[in-house]
Amino acid sequence: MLRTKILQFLPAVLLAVTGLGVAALGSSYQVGSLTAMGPGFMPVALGVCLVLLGIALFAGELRIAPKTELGFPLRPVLWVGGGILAWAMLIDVLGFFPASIVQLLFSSFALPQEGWRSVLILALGMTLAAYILFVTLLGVPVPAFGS
Amino acid sequence: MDALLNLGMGFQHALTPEALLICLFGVTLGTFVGVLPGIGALTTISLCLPLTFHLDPLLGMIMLAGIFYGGQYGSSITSILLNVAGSAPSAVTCLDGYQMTRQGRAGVALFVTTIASFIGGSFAIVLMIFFAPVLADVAVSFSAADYFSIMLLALVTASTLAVGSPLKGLCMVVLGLILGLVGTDINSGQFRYTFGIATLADGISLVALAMGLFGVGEILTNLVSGVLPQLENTRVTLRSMIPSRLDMKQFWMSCTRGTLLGSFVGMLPGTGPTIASFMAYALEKKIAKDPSRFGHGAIEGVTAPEAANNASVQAAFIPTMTLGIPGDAIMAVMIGGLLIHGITPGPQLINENPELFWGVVASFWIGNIMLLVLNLPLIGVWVKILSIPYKLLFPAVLLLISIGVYSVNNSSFDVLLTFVFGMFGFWFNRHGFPSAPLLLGFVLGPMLEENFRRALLLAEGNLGTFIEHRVSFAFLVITLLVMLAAVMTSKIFAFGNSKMESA
Repeated sequence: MLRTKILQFLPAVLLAVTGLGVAALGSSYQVGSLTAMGPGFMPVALGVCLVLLGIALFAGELRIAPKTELGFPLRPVLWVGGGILAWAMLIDVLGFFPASIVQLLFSSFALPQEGWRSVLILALGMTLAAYILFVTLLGVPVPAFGS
Repeated sequence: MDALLNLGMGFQHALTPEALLICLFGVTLGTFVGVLPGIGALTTISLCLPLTFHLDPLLGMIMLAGIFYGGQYGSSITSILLNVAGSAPSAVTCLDGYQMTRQGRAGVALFVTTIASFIGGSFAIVLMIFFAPVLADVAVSFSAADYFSIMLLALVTASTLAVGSPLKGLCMVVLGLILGLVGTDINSGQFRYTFGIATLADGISLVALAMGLFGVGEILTNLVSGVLPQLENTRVTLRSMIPSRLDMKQFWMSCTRGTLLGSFVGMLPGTGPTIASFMAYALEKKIAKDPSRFGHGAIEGVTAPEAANNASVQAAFIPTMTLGIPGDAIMAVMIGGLLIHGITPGPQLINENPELFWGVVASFWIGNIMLLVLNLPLIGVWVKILSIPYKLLFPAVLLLISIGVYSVNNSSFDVLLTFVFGMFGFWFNRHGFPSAPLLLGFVLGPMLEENFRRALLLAEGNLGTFIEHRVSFAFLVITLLVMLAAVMTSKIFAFGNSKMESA
């Protein structure tokens, strides 16, 4: 129950806090006046807007009964997210092939798979195809292996 | 007659072998990704954006636009055969289109959809030919205050008329505007929100943001929603496409209504094909003699939304090309493509780059005719593509996203950003926050700030300047009306929901 309540209000609180942060940082740039706006004017104005919207959202949620929790689908999010993260981390260090194979393996496991063999073969095949398309044909400058 | 002469010049540029090939590539790719559930036109256009850096701007635009309207054709195939929306605008086509398939009338549904799409698209192109130059002439005299108010309307419309809570839409717009601030302020050179990261001095990469919010988001949504429905053994023959006389009678009127509605909606800043097709469906249901036919395979429920959505897609190019104000998220990405080439869309575009403007318009005709061929005789190919298992498809798309984002700036930091935006967007979507307004806010943000600053600088800080300029005043009034309408309808929806819950 408490968890559901927290989740219900979390977006509103998060937005208001973000707005506050944006406005605070923005005020460290030169704000200026209406006639001659500095680089800080819009940031502060937009930050304040977001705080107000967050408060309005919060007030709106108060009037709605908490919805039954959606539940967070951990499995697909972890594997899909992890795959992209792995590619971003590995590309500059190990190169195209290791990064791409790791990402494909990761994302394949977002859905139930029958076995390692088919997944591995698929990952190798797709990586090779992607390498030929992007690096060989389109000239994206990235080494196959290594940095 | 000027328009026709110019159009002729456009055809000269659009009929070169390269342009034809690029156009064919664009519409085929668009249909392909439109047919596939789980990868949309927006993701594909963002993926192809880096490719256009190496192309002539005209060829780049022909390709991106082809993907956009090709995608509309393709996604209706999926709606009709699978009851799955290939993309958001086709969601309403499922309602009656899939029912027609179940009644064994898939062929007729596909045929009328294609023809309606073609008519809707063609009408909007004619409108563009005659109306865009006029609008551009008027727009030359628009002041900074006017631009500010038009953009404000676009942002408010996009966020409040979207399906769901207007308040949540507004939050996303403001968040998008804030993300648009990141980078170097053009007036003072001040770094804003860069946190000492050198890459951020140029701002957040549009492709990274769009791919995270839409590419990764779409895939996660599909994975979470469970197993995708499998195609039943459907064979669509050319013979089965022939509509009956009664079908044709219902077809013409609904197609005309859909076309007019879609063209109008498409021209407004901030409204896209999704709103157009939903409105067209609602209109048909309202004026039908027997509304109970809808949802049970009514042919008007397929033709009107499809005509409307294709008309709006083409008409959306009018404000995009003449004012430089994108109507929806996809248009925002396309403007990004033009800006990279150093072309700023605006009233001067037609005069300064006539071959670009008229070449693109001419390519619309060519592309729509290609789509007619792709969709009618070659329908069997697309039905086959629908049987590619999603299990194989999505890892490949995710890899394409990583490589695509990386290739824009050769930056792994951008891929990291895609990860962050992907997770963030998915979580917010699950709480009912839409992504499209955020992207629109992101693209319009810098323009909005620039015009706001300039307007107030000229008026010496007097906020009344936004009311004193007539055009600006008119748009502010419309903005207010839109907000009012959004509040009213959301109240009605809220009331309806609470009644349902208590019942």
